[in-house]
Amino acid sequence: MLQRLYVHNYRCFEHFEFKPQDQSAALLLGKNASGKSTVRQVLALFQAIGRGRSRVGELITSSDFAHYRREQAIEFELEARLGEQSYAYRLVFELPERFRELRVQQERLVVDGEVVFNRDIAKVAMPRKTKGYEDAVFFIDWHLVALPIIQDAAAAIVLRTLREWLGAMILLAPIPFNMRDVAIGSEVAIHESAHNLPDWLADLLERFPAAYSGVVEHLQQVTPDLQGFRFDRLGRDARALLVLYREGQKTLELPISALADGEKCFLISAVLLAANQMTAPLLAFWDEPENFLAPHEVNQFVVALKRSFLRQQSQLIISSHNPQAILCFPQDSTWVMGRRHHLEPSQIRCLEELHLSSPVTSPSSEVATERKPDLLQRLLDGDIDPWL
Amino acid sequence: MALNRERLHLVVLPEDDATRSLATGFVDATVGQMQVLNPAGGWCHVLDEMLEAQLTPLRKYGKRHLVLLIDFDNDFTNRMQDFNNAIPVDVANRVYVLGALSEAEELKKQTGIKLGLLGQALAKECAGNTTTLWMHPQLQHNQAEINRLNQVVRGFLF
Repeated sequence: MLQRLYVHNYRCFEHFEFKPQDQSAALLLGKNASGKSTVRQVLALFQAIGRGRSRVGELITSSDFAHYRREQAIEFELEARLGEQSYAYRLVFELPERFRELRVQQERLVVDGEVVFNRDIAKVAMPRKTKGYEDAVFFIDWHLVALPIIQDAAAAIVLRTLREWLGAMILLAPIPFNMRDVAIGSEVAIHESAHNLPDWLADLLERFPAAYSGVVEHLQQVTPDLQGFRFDRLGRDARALLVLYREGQKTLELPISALADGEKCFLISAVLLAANQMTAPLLAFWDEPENFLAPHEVNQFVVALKRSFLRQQSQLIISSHNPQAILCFPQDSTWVMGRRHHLEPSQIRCLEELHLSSPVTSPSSEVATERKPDLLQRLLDGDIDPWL
Repeated sequence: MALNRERLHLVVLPEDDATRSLATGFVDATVGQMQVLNPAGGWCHVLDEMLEAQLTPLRKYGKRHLVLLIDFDNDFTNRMQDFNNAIPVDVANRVYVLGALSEAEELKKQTGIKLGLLGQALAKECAGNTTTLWMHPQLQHNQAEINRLNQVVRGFLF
């Protein structure tokens, strides 16, 4: 589980620290441009590293410096509890004068308090605990992140565990309109826009055929007339995803392009739930999952996701503006983000610490008729960040 | 995905954001149909809201059960009496009044557990038929209501 995320000098973040700790679900709340989606972009950077992308120029560019402050380094720190072990990964980028591409200034992985590797620009050191063995020291291109490329027998398990967990992150900001009808097998991990959902589903079913019933069962809660789905082979690699509906004796088979945008979002959630069941523990971030859903569907949609992630000891982070989604999260797992204007960095506070909705007067029968301010009213009034 | 109101379901009307936090944690550790409503804004508003907005759906949907989640503000007997007097007889068997003896924040302080996690723990005790947390001095007065509620929700919530 993600315990802590620290980001400095990256886009709208300066000394930004998000600590979901052991929460199975967390909500990011805030006005537009408060930095919620930037959290997803930071996670995407770690996800790319976990999936083997090491070239710095493909991960980050000079336009990512906060307010073009290129003289300062960009810092990322991620702490996670994976299995019984605590991982702390730190990655710092800099842009020296006359450089066009950023380079790695520092990189360090610590597991349970012990350094796995420590890097200073190009020099990487791996301490050896065994007597008689000297620390391994080697050099790598300063435009390459070390984590995806280090191969070391002594640290193989922890390196693989972290890389796999990072790479398995599911980050979603779906655009249902762009969802393809066809699985083409070129990329099996779900893209943020979910345009390749058929590929993700096909891959999941190939690895875990039992996931089929979970997906159908979940979809039938929303659309009881759904009978199932299947892939129809179109050529050597392409397979069309078709959804089958039945009402009495009548049946109808539709490509997913014929589904409503909200139905496509239910399909995404059904596959996410199945993936979570089969490949937990996962870290998933869903940017505004309520988009495209009818208001009366939102609450139970979010509840289903939260229940699944709690049950599987996975972790779900969502951002939302929707009252029905917001009501699903306790104060202690709701994080309010904000900034007064674009020249200021984003700040984040746990709602529990803000006491936004605490009673203004002590509760007693004399003052009990005074209505306490509630979170949703403050949201509607645009009054959730008076602490800024 | 929306609640199927023709099937057994439980709705919680919390007093404030603290009690809402408890309830949402509880929901996470269940499997059946359950929904937490927007906080009423005070215990007396819970009563108002129940009488003004919740009575109609309660009467319309016979499989709906309603928990009024309040803070008893160390006045359990009188407050329970207020609620019992106000809740109409025809729905009284489907309305339950629960809450911390003083307030939810005090329960959090005394147990040292965050409200969301407290809610989860309380649900797990209900599912496992144990009462360690439910016997906490801030919660033990709820036993009669919990027994009444458990008889109904055990079949669909856990």
